[in-house]
Amino acid sequence: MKLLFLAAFIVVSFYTISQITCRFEMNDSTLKTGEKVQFNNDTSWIQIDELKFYIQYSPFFSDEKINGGSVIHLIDVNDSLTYQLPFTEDGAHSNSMFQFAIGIDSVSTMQTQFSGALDPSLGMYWAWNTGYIHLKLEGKSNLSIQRNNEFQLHIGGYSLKNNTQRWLETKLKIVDGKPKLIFDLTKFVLETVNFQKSPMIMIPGIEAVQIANGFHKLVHP
Amino acid sequence: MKVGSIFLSLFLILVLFLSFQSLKPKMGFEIPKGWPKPLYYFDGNEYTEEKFQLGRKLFYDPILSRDNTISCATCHVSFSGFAHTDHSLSHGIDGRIGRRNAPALINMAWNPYFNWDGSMGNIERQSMEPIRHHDEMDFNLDSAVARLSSDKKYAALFREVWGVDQITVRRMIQSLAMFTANLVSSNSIYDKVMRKEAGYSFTTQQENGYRLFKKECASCHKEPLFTNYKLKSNGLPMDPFLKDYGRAEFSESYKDSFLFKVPTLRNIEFTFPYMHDGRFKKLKDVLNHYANLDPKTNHLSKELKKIKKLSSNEQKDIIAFLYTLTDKEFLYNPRYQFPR
Repeated sequence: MKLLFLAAFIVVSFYTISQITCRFEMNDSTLKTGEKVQFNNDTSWIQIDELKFYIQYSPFFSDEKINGGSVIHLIDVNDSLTYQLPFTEDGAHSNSMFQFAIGIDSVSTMQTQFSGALDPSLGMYWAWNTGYIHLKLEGKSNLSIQRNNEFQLHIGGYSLKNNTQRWLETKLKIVDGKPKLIFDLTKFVLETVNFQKSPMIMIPGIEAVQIANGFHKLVHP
Repeated sequence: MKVGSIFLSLFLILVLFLSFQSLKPKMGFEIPKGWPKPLYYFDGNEYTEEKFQLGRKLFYDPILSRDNTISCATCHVSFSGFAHTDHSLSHGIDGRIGRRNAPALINMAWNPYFNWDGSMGNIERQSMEPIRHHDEMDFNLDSAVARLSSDKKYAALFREVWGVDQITVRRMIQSLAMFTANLVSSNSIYDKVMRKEAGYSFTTQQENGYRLFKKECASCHKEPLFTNYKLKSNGLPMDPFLKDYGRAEFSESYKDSFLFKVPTLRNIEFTFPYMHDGRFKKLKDVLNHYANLDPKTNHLSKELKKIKKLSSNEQKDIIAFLYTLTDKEFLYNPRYQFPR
């Protein structure tokens, strides 16, 4: 019996990672772009049309906490092919915690070769002095007084005080033996984004930093 | 007599030399074969490499905005044909949003006028507009010149380029024009096919798209610049938030309502979103708009009243052709990028 428990413990807690797949949720269901969502009995609604963001992490998936990473991957909620996080090496993993950053570090920004995920034609590049948009969230909400109730949050900036890259750690959810990285927008849009006061953020600065400070709400601790 | 002959010969040689010099194309700017003459030909603003580089530096420098945050390159990104990929409206200081989509800066030397409503008729003076615009750089020209003058690097650069100590508005805008007028895109697959370069040809779909394009689109998007530079009303309903009446806002003439400049289609693959207010993210949306256009739409330009309702497959063929207008040598030319 003890052996059985031990075997079960090993199977559950030690598995080989080959790929992590992202999943997006909002208001207790799968995120659907282009659809209005109401929270509780609130009369306000939010519609996410676009969510794109950079994620940076180590190519070697391991137990060790690695504060850094050379893989830069662009996730686009409207393109499920981008949901798979590529790794250069499979790694044995025993605790399902995953460290990653939302955004791109300053060195990668300054040394960009403008190719791959960092190709400016992907719509995430600003300019040499402002770098890349780290996270782009666009949609509509009746709380926004902008054109067609639109909101556009282009969160970026890589200089010291305006840096909006944030390192996060989250527990992966194992579904059918495969690790999933769950992004839940509920707390983020309800607690971090102010659709009335700041529906348009287009430049680095204090407003962008405030949003970046809420990136951790996108994932469960 | 002998001395006189020598002087005469030397004089003739000098005349011939000077004539030859005036016939030579201006260094750094060449008219692609078969293209019309540009309207801006650097008269009074002779090309020098140093001036081009000064204009390039100014173009990428936020020093020309009130709070040192916004440069020309903020909304005109080289990798997207100097348009602002994925941004429907232009951005300015303090996060301000403009009313129009930042247009691509391609083959500017052929432009008879600038801005979506054609309200500016000179490439040199055009650069003053975004510097002064409240929603863009929100600065004034005197302050911009004063700031440049107090910057040791710029003071030295202007002295080197212009040969005088004083920085003026005219020298600043002529330097900027030297850069923008030299943004020439003429090496797309389309160009190479037209030049019959070895190894380049259209696919069947592109060929079909080209045939349809010539029949249905080329009256406004005329080859080889893919615009006739006219102001047209394309039947888009006015955005109730932006309330943009086009040329009429400038001319204050009712007949100019909803007239906007016909944009070039070169590098159209990367200059999205489209139209004067960036309302369409994809080319298929643009083609779909024209396919479903009501010919009775108010102010609609005459060319569009008889436009054929293209089928879905025909639209795809046209888009396949339009992709041949992508010029990666232009888009990724390090000479046009931020001077590191």
